[in-house]
Amino acid sequence: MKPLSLFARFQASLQAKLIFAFALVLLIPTAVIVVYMTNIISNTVIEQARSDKFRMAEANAAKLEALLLSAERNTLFLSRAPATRRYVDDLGQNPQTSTDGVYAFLESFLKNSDYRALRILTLEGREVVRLDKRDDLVIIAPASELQTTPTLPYFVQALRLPIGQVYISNLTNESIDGQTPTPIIDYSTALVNSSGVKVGVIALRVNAGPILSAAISSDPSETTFIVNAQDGTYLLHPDQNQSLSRGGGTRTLYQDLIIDSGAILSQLRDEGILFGSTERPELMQTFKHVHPPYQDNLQWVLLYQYPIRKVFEAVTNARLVVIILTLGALLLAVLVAVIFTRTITHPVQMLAHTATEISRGNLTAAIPVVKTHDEINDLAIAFSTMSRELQTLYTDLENRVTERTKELAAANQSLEEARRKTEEVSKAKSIFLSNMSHELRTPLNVVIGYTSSMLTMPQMYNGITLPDIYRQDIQLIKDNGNYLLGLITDILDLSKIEAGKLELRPTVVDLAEIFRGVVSTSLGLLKDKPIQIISEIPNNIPRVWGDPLRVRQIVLNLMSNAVKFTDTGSITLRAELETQCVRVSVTDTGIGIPEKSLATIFDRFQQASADTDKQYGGTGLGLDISKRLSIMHGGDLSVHSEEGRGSSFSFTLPFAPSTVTEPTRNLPEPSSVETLSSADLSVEAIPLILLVEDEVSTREMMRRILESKGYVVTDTHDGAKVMDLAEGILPTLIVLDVHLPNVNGWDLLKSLKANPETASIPVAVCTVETDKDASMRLGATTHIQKPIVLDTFLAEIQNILAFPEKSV
Amino acid sequence: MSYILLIEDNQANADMVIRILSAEGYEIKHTLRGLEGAKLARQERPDLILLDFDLPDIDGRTMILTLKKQLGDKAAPPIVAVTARTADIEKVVAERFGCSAFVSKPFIPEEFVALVKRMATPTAKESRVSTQNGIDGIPEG
Repeated sequence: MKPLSLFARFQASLQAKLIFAFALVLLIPTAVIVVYMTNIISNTVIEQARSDKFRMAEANAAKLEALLLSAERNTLFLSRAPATRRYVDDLGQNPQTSTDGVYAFLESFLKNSDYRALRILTLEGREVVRLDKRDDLVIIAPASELQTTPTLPYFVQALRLPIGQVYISNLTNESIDGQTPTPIIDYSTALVNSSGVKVGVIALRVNAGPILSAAISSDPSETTFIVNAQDGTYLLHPDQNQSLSRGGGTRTLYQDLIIDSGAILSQLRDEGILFGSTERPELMQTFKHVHPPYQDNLQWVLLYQYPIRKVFEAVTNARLVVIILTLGALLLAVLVAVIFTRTITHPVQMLAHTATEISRGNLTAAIPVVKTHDEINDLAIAFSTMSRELQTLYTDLENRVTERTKELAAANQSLEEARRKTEEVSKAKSIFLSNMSHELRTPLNVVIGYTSSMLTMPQMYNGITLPDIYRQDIQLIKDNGNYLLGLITDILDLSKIEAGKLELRPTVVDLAEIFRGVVSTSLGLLKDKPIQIISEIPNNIPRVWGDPLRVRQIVLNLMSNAVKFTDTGSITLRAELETQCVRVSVTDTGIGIPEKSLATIFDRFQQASADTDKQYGGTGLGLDISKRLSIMHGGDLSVHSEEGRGSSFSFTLPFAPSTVTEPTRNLPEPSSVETLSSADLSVEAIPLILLVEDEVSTREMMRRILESKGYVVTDTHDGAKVMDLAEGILPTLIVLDVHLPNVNGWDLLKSLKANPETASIPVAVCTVETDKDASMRLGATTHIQKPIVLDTFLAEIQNILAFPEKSV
Repeated sequence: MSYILLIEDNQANADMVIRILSAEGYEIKHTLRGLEGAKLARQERPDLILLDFDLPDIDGRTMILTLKKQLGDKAAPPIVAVTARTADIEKVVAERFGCSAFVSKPFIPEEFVALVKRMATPTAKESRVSTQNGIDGIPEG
């Protein structure tokens, strides 16, 4: 496994974190304790080592002293033994005293000890008795071998000491006949006769080897030295050549100490432990004095050298034990933590799993049963409660959403209803206006038609021209008819604009052409007024963008207004180039508009004064429409006027997009008659369907689906009209509902089939009756079962239209 | 002269049209109802049909389609739609269903006469008669 994913797993695992936390919590005090403990342990171990060593040194020193003193006691015993006393008493009186008694005593004593020799010397230093022990044999020295040694230290010192004190010599080597030198110590004391007078000296020569050996440490890694404190010579040294007790003795302790001799020397005078001195940092050195009482000349020092490394080995071992124990405890703790945390995390994991399920929308996910009796149990219970709550809430929410949706749908429906009603009203208004327009135009046609005819078409009146006496009145009727027509047109336009039903058909507009047409029409409006009409259009005027019909309407409107309100002077139609557009203006030298009226000039049915309309006529809608049309072209209609001097109306038109290069088609002068382009040649192939159905919704439904296929449908609910309609329009197909009010549909079918003109027209019978054969017998082409299934219905109709021959 | 069928539900208007065209020498047959007009067109095969769009018994679209279907294609007389309605849809329908001209009321009598003259030329009629006379036996106006 990759370390990253392991880390990620650790991060994702609550248990791992808990274990980690446990371990960390455990580790910190443990580490502190271990550090502290190891310190204490090392100190304790070192202290232990020191005190052990020193105690051992003390014990060895005591052993050494005891051995030395035991020889001293024996010397005293020998000097005071009765045999010796007797001999000494005699010796004082008679130098030739028999030595037999004393020899026997001394020989037996020497035989049973490991002493080397016994001597008795006179006050002159002459040996009178001498016994030597050689290889367990006591040899009595013959008189010839007896020596006189008045200067030897053991003789001199023994006599100098007070009576009862024993002289102990320093360690020396005794070499006899090339044998291995033996370390010896001489003990001597004065011999006193019964009168208390010193008469001689008794000297005991002791083999020092066993005594010294008693001081050697039992620890093989410890080195034992015995040093003479007076001169520093090694009495005992591991190296035989350096040890006086082994026949060497050329070297002193001082020679070994080069730098830090002061500290060692102070230790020689004193005693104690030197733990890693400057010269021997690797050693622990224990010093202990050997100093028997009353023996000032015997000053020995026991020196033990022990490697500190050994001490620290013990320390290290102890530390190791502590660390191993600690690690073991930690491991055990982690193991416990793993088991323990598992009991915590497992329920949490189960809860998490369930939470995930719930978050995925599975609200019915089973809540895990947690058997612990702690907070997790509480959590599980709370979670379970929450889940149920959530489920309830969710259900509640769903219900509410459904409810709200219903409400919203209802609101939408009512809104839709309102919108539909508004639309219906709007549509009704449009239809009404359209119908009204139609109804008004029809009689107007008669008015205008006849008056026009009377004025210009004498052929209609048998060539009799209208007498002049009528002409003016007829003209007036005609003009008013035209005025009424204009009013109707304007009202219709305005209602269309207001309903947003007037759509511009913008294209490239050639203003010059429009100007020409408008000027030509305006000239016709002038009658006999002495007015000059000027058209100013610079050559650099670009093509503009607009609906040519509507542009023309605005310009013509403004022009006719100008003509209306101008009696003399001029009317100028002008196009000017502006930065982003072309400004079209109509300026006259007419009566002008009073300043107070300028604000209301564009209001509907407003003219400059209440009298104006009486005098000048006009609908009062023209400026309103023109302004609205100008706005629809992205500009506005504005006016400048001075009463009595004239007015100027202007509006702007945007430039045509440069990409459109299509030239303006010649704009026809508006006319009531218009020739249409050639018709679609396949018109005759369009199916014409007569739909007879009395139920209005079914009829509309059928009509709509048929018209969606491009068929022309004429429908009726009135059975009585069916024969007339069929005979009149000779439809491609008749869809006949045979259940009609007043009329029997079956009879109708029979009549259709009986009439030679309509007999061949296929009839699709629609009925709830299932008797198909009945309708087929009567001549129906197909029988469509009600209720109508639109797809089936359409398929049937299309089938008949595709194969009409079947019908016969 | 040419024989013109006028289908127009407004009597006053019809009378005026008859007056105007009669003065120009046309023979005019008038009916107030669409269905009757369709039958007449079928039976009498006029040289020109003047059709008011707004008939009470039948809608303009059905009426034109009926006429076009019943009169055949190439030999069919031109149909001129006449209406007092100004909506564009009327013109679109007229054009779509093959009307030859569109007249909106009120019209200028001189212009109307000029249009009729253009549509019902005797030469056009003669060519039609020469090809179909024997077959349909249409009485000449």
